[in-house]
Amino acid sequence: MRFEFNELQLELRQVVGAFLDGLNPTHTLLSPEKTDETKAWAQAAELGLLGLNAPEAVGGLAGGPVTVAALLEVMGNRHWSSPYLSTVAIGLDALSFSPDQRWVEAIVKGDLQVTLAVLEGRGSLALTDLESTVRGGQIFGRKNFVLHGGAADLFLVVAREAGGHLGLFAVEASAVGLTVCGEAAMDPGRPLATITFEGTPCQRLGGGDAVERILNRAQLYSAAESLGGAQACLDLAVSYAKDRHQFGRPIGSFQAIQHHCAEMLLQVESARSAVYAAAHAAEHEREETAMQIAMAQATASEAFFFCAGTCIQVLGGIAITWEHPVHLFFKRAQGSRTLWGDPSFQRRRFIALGGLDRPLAEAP
Amino acid sequence: MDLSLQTEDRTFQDEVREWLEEQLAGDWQHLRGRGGPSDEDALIEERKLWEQHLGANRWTCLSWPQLAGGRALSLVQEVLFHEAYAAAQGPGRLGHIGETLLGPTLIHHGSDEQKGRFLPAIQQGTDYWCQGYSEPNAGSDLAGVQTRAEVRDGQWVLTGQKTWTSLAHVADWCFVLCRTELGSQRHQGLSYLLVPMDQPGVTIRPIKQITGTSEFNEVFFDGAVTELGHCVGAPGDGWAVAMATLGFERGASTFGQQLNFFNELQDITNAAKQNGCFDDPLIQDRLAQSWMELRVMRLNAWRMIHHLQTDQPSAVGAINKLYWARWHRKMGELAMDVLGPASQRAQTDGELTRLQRVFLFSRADTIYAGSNEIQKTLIAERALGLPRSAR
Repeated sequence: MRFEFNELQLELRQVVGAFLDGLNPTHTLLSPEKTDETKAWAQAAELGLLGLNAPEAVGGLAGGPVTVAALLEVMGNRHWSSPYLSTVAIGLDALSFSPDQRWVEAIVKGDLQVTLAVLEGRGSLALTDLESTVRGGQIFGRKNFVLHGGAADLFLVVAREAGGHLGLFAVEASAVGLTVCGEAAMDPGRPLATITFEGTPCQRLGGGDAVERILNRAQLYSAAESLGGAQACLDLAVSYAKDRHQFGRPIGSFQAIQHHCAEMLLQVESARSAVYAAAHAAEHEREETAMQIAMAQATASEAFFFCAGTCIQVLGGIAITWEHPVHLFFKRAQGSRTLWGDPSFQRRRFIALGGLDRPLAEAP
Repeated sequence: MDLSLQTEDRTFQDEVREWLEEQLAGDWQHLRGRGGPSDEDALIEERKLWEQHLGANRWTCLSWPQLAGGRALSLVQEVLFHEAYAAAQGPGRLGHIGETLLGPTLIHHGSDEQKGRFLPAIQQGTDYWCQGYSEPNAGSDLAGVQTRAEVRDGQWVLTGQKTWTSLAHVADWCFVLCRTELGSQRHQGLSYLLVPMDQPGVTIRPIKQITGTSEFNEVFFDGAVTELGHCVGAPGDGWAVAMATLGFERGASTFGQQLNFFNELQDITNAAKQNGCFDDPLIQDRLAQSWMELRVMRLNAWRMIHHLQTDQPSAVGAINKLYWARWHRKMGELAMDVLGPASQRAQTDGELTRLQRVFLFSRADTIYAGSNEIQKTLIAERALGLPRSAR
């Protein structure tokens, strides 16, 4: 029973942390206004980070879900606003189903950015109201809330095939019949887009199994990002509480502040357990993986939102200003909570996946 | 990340399960599921015989060193034992206070004479212990202890009152934190004395609790005596010894407790399905939340065990008490909401139902062994390194 990363994973976490700290050394976290994302992406490619879970044959590191989650946690901790999750963590995974490996090679080199186009209507991850269809190799429909959609080179689209079954399709941004409508977002590091497909040519990557697999992975990796963000908010609050004096004492010596911080630690540590166990289950393709991921996403997104909000309360007035970066975490936490299945959605999923019927006493 | 058990641990797990299953299906079947919180008074004499049976088969004091009569088993195997014991509905233990609190204290701080006198009887299930710490005016602030002891005619003589003493009425001995230096303050001048319970100077009065049952007692010392040699550590060093006692709990028993929680939550879920309120989406949401948190609690505990085994500081260990206590209290409330008006109805003989007792007694979970508020202050100061708060 070893609940920890191996040496390679620890080293990669250090590399990623140092890389992200180096992008913007004067700030405690990466403000999208002050970061040259194009340069950052090229540097990430040079470091080999864009081939993290690509096959070794194309110059990748062939990392599994534990390795990917380990790094996304660090990226979430430093508030990196790149499409790493959709391009590398999910993109490489989904495109491994494709017989044509050019896309994979382009991702590893840093020449191709990918995003997921899944949600429709009001944006429920349940997908029961999905209307996009694929007929004769062409896709018709409209996708909402597409993260980084304006800058993506390739879309991974979930749509219905003949018989109403879900399928996963790749669509190049340059294809005909595709309209991208960029939208500003509350989180400045996560611009959104609405994508309309009117007979756009697409390539099929897989059926319902592939859809389920990449959506589960996306939720797992989003949970890992949230864990990193939650830890960052806790650390910000604790260090401020040690430094800031009022009534002649550090505010961290007041129990009201101490207890806020203790509640944050409880949530962070619980999220850590849930995320690591879910990543482990995914890596070993355990039967209960989806249930573990539902738990991880519910626990970690809740923890991130709680910690970001509580951090603002501990910091007081400064946290309401644009100048202090904690608002970026708060906005991201709200987005991560809602874009990948909010906690009550995850609890319904947990029940559907047998969460109330499974024994407790088995190895985690 | 490797969350699977080693082969030797699986073998051990099979051995424990097999033995317990055989015993509890046979001669000891009547003890299955008896005792424990809110049923603590059940079948005391039989349960003592069961503990002696456990001891004779070397299923007590698993983590103690072999020289002290234990088996020096790993923390993981200790966890597996506790899990299997709870899963087999082994009767609520009576000897755990001696086994997990006093035993390790004597192993680390006791004299050879004390070890020889007390450890074998704990291992064999012939001596039972209770803890004499809390007093009416020393609860969360334990350093306010007022019970006094002085040396008279070559022995210690004790005067004072302890309270919330679990299992005092079944115990043969009590380890007592008391003031042995006249006029001393706070942490100074305290001693850690081992006091026999069966004597004229000791009076035990059960405290009838919110459940109508009595797990806790008041213990009065009025000229109670004990031998001069029954002081652990030097006279005056009692505070350090008392704190050491609280640090020995390795966290293995929390796994057994979680299996009991599992059984309770399963009963609540079944009740919801039977009475139809499972169709209520709000009830479903609360059940799912409770189940998720129970699973997270278990994962947290495994991470804590990993940290302990590898000698790392464990932030996740620091939150364990706060987490389970609050979870269990909330589960008790969920149980009542699931039952609806029927939650008010007692059994035909007037006794409370199991879930009613759980609901009521879970209010104590967030108070004893460090209230939620004390826990949060400890987390802030010890795990997060925040400056000490005003006391």
